[in-house]
Amino acid sequence: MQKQFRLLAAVTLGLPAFALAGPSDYVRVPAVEYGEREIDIKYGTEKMKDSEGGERESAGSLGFGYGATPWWFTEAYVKYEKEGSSKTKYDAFEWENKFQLTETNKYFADVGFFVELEVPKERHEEGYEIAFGPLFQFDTGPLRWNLNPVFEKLVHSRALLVNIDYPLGMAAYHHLSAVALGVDELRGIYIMGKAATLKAASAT
Amino acid sequence: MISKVVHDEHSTNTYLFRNALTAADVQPFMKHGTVLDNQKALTVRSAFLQNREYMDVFYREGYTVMEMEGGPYLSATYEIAEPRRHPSNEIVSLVDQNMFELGVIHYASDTPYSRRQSLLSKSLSYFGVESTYGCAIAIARRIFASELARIG
Repeated sequence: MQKQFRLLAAVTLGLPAFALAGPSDYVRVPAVEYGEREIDIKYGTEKMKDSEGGERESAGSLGFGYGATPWWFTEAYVKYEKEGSSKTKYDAFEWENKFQLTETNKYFADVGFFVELEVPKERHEEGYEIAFGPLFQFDTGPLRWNLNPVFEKLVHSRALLVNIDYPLGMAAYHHLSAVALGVDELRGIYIMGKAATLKAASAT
Repeated sequence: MISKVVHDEHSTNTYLFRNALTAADVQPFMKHGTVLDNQKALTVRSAFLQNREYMDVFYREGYTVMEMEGGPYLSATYEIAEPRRHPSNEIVSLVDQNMFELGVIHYASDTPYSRRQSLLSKSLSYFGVESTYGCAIAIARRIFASELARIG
């Protein structure tokens, strides 16, 4: 019932009923203001589901931007994040470039394009990230719509998956021991096997 | 079947651990089968060598999963987490180790001593394939989710 009310409220207000976004995501518009100098402060917060720990995750950024040409806006900013009860900490440096591709209000939709490069604090572990995508903005009556499909590419991850195929008995022990000796850091061990259930053994 | 207790006949240890996999990770991929969590598993030296009377002892103790590799893997896991040889004939808790995630999952192939089937005696068929793939997908998704969460 609560979901229905939420949906009804969203439709009534002309808002999206759901969003696939994190606390540090935001809406970009395609327009570029030539010569504009901008101090940009963003903040978002999200409470995770109970099945995902139920903690509150918050993120913020402080940026400085400049409209270098009538069609190019560039901005650099630092990002901070806070997870659960831990302290707020520096997360990443980002450089964003936005390009206006059409004149404002000349066509049905204003079109732009953005490219963003993120250098995380833990860049040796997390790798660099690049995100890009088109920006659309158009009006329908009193409503203004923005569409920001974002394509993100994970540039680098040092994680390695090692698969040990089906050793039984003590072979499993020796294989895993040997693999563990050769790695610096283990993130997870996942064991999958074929088994018989004893339930029917006793029932029959 | 998702266990959080494994008794190992090799080391005669009983391992307790926090399983990173839950029934909710597997159930979305199961159309016909059922996922059972909070199970207790028994690692035997050979599934062929068991008999009903012996297995009944374990069943009465709440063990419902019989397999052949979980115990030795957990013995090796203990030695990764602790700088010493794994013990023997003890109750060993891996619950507090937080160096890495530990996920243990089994797909049921058959029920020993019923309908004259035993482990490895029957082909998987669609039902076996479904649970096998369900387990594999759950593990793969867990790995990717953990890594994506780690790299932000």
